[in-house]
This record gives sequence, structure tokens and C-alpha cells, in this order.
Amino acid sequence: MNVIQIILIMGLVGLGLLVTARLQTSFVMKPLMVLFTVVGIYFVLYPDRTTQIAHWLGVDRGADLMFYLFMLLVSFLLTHLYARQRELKAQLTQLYREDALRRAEQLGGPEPGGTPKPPEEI
Amino acid sequence: MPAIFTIVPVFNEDPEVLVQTVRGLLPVAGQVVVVDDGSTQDLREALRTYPVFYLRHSINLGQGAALQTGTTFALQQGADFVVHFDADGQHQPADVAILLEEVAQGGTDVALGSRFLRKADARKIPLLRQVLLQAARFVNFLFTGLWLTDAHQGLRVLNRKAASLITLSENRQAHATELLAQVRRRKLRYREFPVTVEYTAYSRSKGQSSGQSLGILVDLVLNKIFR
Repeated sequence: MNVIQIILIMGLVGLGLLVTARLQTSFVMKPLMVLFTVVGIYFVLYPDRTTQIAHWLGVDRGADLMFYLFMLLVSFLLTHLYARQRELKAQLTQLYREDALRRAEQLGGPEPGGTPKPPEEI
Repeated sequence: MPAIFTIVPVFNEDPEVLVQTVRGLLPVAGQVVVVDDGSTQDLREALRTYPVFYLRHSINLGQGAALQTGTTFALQQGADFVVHFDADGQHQPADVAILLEEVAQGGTDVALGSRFLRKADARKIPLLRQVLLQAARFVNFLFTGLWLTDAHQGLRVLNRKAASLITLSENRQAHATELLAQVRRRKLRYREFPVTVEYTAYSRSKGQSSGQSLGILVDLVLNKIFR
């Protein structure tokens, strides 16, 4: 085993442990992450296998196949994170809107310091 | 007497300009609702003596979010008509009365101001802005199916039905197109009416910069994808 294999395996194991043990991952994601880790370690130990699979799929080298899959995965993750980010923004807006509505005040005018009438049902 | 609520979204507005806008609105625009979209300066203090409702977002969310907050508030207060009015002094309070009259008479659910219905109004628009607005009209048409004479013009009047049915989720500037899309989706009646917009050095510095156009387009596309 050479140095890069040790580094990669340590990284995979660390990531796998983090995701399964520490983060609140869903029941669907947990087994998938374990599988991802095991498969990852297998290909780190036997890199030639990726080339075999690549040939089946019509790609010349295993490293190229890994690169393509990596691109796909990153694109998917970014899109997922972005969608999540938009969702959070919408929730945040809702929160600040409700806060603004609660603290609405009537300034100046005939009833100084008066408050708006309680909301009607809409 | 119908309840009219005029929403004025503000963000770091010059207090003097804001007060001027509010003073112009008070005689013609019913209840004035100032929605402070997380300004870093204290605008409440400037408005203290005026009979307006003051709402504040603790952080800056964007003009679309401020309009929606104001509209929700107005509906809660029992508004029959909701007016959108920019704070920077570019709109004429007299135009509000004209648009209100049209909606109150029941001829339309939404009255949209347009700077292109009278030659004299259109001539006041800076040339580059005129060109961009033509492009924006086309973008609006692509996204909403409404072919209007103007785009991104902030003066509108909605009746209660329209104000209740339209919910702006575009927090930033793309709300102007989103509003039109919902007018179409909800099958609301709409009409454009001529309005005059005064381009002062101040309103030009506060308004949308031409460079923002692209950002609005990106927001629109993203909003289509990530619904």
C-alpha cells in the first residue's frame, strides 16, 4: 500500500464516520454513505478495477470515469444546497415579516403612540 | 369610505426625501404604511410626527419583501385598496388618485402606471433607461405573457381581491415581473394608466442601476427553476 492510498482511506473512513455517527443523517442516507465509503475504499485498494468498469462504460481510463462521476456528484450537491439555501431564505423572510407585523406601530397623528388594530382574518 | 393603504418600501432613504414623499401622499393616499427594509439609519425618528404606520424588517430583505410585508399588513387592517408607491420622490401623489379612481370604479383589479403612454412622460426617461426598459418589457412578456408598455415601474393600485391573491416571493427586484405573472395566473384584470416620473439625481442614485438588469434576469430564471 502506498502513501496516497493510506491518505485516501483515512479520509473516506473519517468522512463515513462523521456522516453516520455525528451528523443527523436520514435513515436513507446512512446506508448509502456506508456503501459509498466501502466502495470508495475498495477502489482505492484496487484502482485497476475502475479502469475495467470504465471500459464497460466506454471510457478509456478509470481516472477519467472517476472525474466524470465526481463532476456529476458535485453538481448535484451544489444544486441541492442551493435549493436548500432558497428554502431557508424564504423561511427567514417569513420570520422577519411576522416580526415586522407584530411590531407595527402607528406614528404621530391623532392618537400619539397608538397601536394598529388587531389583524382581521384574511 | 373605502380603506386605502399606500405601501412605501424604504431602504436607507434620505429622511428629507422620505418625509417629502409621505407629506405628498397623506392628503390623497389614505393610510400610509412605511416599510423600512432594514435601513441602517433611523428613519422612524424622521417620521415620528406623521400619522403613518411604521413597520421594520430587522434585516434588509429587498423591495419585493417589503412590499409584501406592507400588503399583508394592509390586508390585516382591512384595506379595500392597496397602493405601491416608491419612496424616492419619483412618483406624483396626484397619479395615485387617478389610478385609485379607476380601480374603485371596478373597471380593473390592478392599475399599473406606465411612463410610455404619454410622449411627455417618456421623454423624461434617460435614454439608456429607455432602451433597457424596452428589453425589460420583452423579458416580462416572455416570463408572464403580458405585453405592457412599461416595466419595473413602481406605482400600482390593487383592489383587495388582487392584493390577497398576489403573494410576492421574489424578495428583490424581480418582484415586478413576479407580480405580473401572478396577475396572469390568477386571471386578474389589469390596465395601464399614464403616470409621470420625475428623474431627480436622488431618485436615479436610489433606483435600480442599469447594471442590475442582468441580476434581475438571473433571479427570474432561478425562480422558474427552483419553484
